[in-house]
Amino acid sequence: MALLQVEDLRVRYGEVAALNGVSLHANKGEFVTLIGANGAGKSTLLRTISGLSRGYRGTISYQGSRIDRLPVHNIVSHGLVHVPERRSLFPDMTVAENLKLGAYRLKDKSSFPSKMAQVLDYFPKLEERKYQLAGSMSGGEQQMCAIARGLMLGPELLLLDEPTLGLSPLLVGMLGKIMKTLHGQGLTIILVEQNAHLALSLADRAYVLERGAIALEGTGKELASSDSVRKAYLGL
Amino acid sequence: MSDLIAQLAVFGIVNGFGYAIAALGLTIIFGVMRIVNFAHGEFYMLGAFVAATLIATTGVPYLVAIPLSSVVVGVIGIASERVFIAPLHNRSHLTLLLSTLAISMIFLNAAELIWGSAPRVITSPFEESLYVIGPVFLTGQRVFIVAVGIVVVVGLGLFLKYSTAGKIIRATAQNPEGAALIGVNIGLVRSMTFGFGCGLAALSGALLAPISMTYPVMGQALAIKAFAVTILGGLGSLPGAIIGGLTLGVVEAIAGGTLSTAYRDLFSYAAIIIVLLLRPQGLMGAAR
Repeated sequence: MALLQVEDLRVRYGEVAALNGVSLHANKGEFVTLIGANGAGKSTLLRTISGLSRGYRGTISYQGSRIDRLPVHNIVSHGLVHVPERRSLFPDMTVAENLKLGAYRLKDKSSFPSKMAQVLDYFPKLEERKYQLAGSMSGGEQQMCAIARGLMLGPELLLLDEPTLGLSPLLVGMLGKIMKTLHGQGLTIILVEQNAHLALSLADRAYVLERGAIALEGTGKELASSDSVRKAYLGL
Repeated sequence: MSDLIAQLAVFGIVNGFGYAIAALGLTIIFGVMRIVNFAHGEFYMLGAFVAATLIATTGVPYLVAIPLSSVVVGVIGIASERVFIAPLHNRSHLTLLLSTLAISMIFLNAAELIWGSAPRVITSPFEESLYVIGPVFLTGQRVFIVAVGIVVVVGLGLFLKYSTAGKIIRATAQNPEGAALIGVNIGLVRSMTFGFGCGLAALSGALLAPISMTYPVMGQALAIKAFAVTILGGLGSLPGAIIGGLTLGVVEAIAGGTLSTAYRDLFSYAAIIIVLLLRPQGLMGAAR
């Protein structure tokens, strides 16, 4: 059974259709990536899975039960953590306070210090910035802090929305390594990426989203060698 | 003359603490919910009436009636949020504003029905004592108001800065979506914050009642003053609400006492207009 199963999901903003019947799944421990052009509905899909947006048709099941009508905080407490594109931090709080609040729903509070140490180990830059206000850091540092905060809960499924956006090539490489490590430790990841090279190299399986619908599906390797993907997303 | 000014200034500070407590409630509600609570004056009024009713019917002492009344009104605030505001939280700010106006009208008219429109007096045990500090005379009640004001200001600051609940409130104010994504039930935070803010208004009402009158429309003037204080101090700023409250209290007391009480409100609004002209973000607000 898939950890996450999305069936025929349809979402619209007012009169504008954002998702036209999307079906996808992620198995436990799988690294799934979603690529697609701007406005294809990638962010909407993640937002609807985490409960920030609502679909008008279709179902979302997680660990075998429906979550598409649950409030966001309830979904989070089941270990489904969404790190949205930019601006999810608390800007007037320090990095340490942000990370601490990330563990707000952590069931086993005694694991907090080890979680904190582990997260700071992944992102050593945050150790230096620990007592700085989150809003005063660079975009890339904020991005890392947002991911780190998401990890504090010890998620089972991590939804990452364009984590490499605005990051230097050096940091993109570092983030790629961290995602690989997390995946290696058994974390299920759904990654939305503009950077199709990176996304397809990391993915067990990938989907191409076009105009609110799944256009292609396959392993990372299959898609990376598909002609249409090479032309449209890899610039080859 | 300077003795009179000193006396008036001290009276102004006393009233200013009352305004500051009510304005803190308004500010914390605005910070989390982004709405201006037009019913704030009615929760202030309810604070005084509930305290009066508790004293009259159950015979509890004034000191017990104050916190009890704040809690009762806080619960009424939570219920009001659930019924009149929560179902509309996706709607425009104007819709929410109108909804708080509806709460104001409902409670104002309910109070007239229940308690009648004749003013009543709450007596405080502190009214009997008198303190003399240099040229300034103060009843115990006024000293008590200042003491409670300081405790509330310091307590609220510590609560918001260090407690988990306070941090959750600040997180929700800074980024509601981010708060939801770490697992905060932001609907619950909104309700509790609204109730908490209304409780602060009620506390202010119960504190000021013994030095003024208790009647159903008493909250109308206070609400305008509390709005003025938050504009003066900077919308959304807690230190601003405190400094704004004290400033307004002192300005209107001195102007009212030396010129004419008829001009009391005129001078406080003039002060606000000047602040808005010279420093539109308010005394403590950050430029946006």
